[in-house]
Amino acid sequence: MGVMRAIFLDNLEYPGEVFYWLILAMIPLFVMSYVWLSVYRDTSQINGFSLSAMVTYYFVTMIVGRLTGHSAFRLADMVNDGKVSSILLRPIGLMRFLFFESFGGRLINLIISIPPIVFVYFLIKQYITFPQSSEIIFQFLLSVVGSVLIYYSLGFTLGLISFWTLEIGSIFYFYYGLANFLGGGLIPISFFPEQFKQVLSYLPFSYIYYFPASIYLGKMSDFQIWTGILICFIWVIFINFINIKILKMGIKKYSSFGG
Amino acid sequence: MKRYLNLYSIFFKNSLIRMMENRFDFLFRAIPTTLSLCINLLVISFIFSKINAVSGWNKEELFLLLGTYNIVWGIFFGLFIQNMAKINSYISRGDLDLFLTKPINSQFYISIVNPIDFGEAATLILGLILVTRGVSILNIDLNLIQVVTYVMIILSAVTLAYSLWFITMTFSFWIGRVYGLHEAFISFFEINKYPSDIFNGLIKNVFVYFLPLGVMVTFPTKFLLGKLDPILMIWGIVSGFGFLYISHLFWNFSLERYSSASS
Repeated sequence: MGVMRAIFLDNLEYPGEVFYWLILAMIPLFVMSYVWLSVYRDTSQINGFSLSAMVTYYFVTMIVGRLTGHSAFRLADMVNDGKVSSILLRPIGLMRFLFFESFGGRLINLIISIPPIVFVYFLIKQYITFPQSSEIIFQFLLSVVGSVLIYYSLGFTLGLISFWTLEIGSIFYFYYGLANFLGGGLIPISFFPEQFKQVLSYLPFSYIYYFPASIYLGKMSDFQIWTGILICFIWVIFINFINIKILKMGIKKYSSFGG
Repeated sequence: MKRYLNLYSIFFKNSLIRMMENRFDFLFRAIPTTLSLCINLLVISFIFSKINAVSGWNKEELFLLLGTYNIVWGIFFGLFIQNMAKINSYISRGDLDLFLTKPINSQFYISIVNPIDFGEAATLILGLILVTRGVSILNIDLNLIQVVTYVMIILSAVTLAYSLWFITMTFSFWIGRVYGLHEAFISFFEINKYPSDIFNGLIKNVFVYFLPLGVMVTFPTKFLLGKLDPILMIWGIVSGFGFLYISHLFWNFSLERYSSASS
């Protein structure tokens, strides 16, 4: 928690930049809302989505996207600078440290973002809906925790590549695009072809945006929600298991270099 | 003018030589570009599996728009990204004197001094393929004059993109060090993935006349489709030069403040 607090304060120094990135994060919401507004001029339901469900979908994914983060670049810097060596003896400690550091940063980012998000909310208030029951809110929050953990863990896997190559920038460009698309950040996954959707429900990506937003919109049965949450957390455990294995391999390579 | 062309050709040659030094970079860059294009194509296809039109545009027309988007992006991004990405730090670190003391236009120099990013040629080529495919699928008959006009509107769009990007960068004089300021314009440019017809009323006018993001890709595409109003076509061709001049004013105005602050 001490780490989170330090990051908290660190981020507070540059609220201006947070605002700036937030404006950029709002652009897809803005454009997609207009795309759908124009589409819904002729019809009231598309693929089970009403216009307000659609706008709410992008609003919720935008907020979830404020919370998801990773420390891949931080890890890469540590590896390149040799700073990682002090923590090499306890890899699990390193992973926990980096996670709380990243999550603390995202949390403060979200808190600073509240005024502009509220502002946007008032602009599109007529389309935004809220969950029907406190149970849904609870399930939604649980799925957001899953989303944060999955996004972070996958990012960490990629960050570990920095033990082998310095060039992880373009790999990340790849990852952002793919995770955003397969995660339902561009359009809801229910628009994907049936088989595509089937495959995706077993992969970790859809738990990043689509799953939480669908729970929020009340589009899933209790059974779907709980199996989804189960699959999501199995993925989190599995990815982190793999991450520990790769980290240990990386450390082995790293120390053989130094010694 | 001739001197500037000469200078530019020297810079261009240098960039080419640098590119040839690491040729694999091109292949490496082509992969994410192709991926993001595929994603955009899939998104449009998936949306159109459930609907028939977006603001009067059908699926193939949107593919054509996406092709034009990639052409414009490939050119302006490839030519200027390395330069725009550095302007903020030149200004906030006080390295600007290097540019002001040269006997050529400082805006010109600061915009081209760093190498061209030839990796973006992949985007340009994919865009050309998509447009060629669209033209044949939509049975568009083009004569030479129309092709030339299309190229002119594209070049104007590139000038427009450069100018708006450069204007954004002049804000560095006023707001100081902002990490990734150049990303702001790139994010706004992505609005062009969809036709500006999705907007209406005031916002549409803003995007056509005051912050002409809606001109850069929608106009050339509409021209190919034969749907562009002749008056708007003229705007599409001249807006680039107009905004180039405005960017020049922004630069000079900010420079005056910069020099008076330092003395």
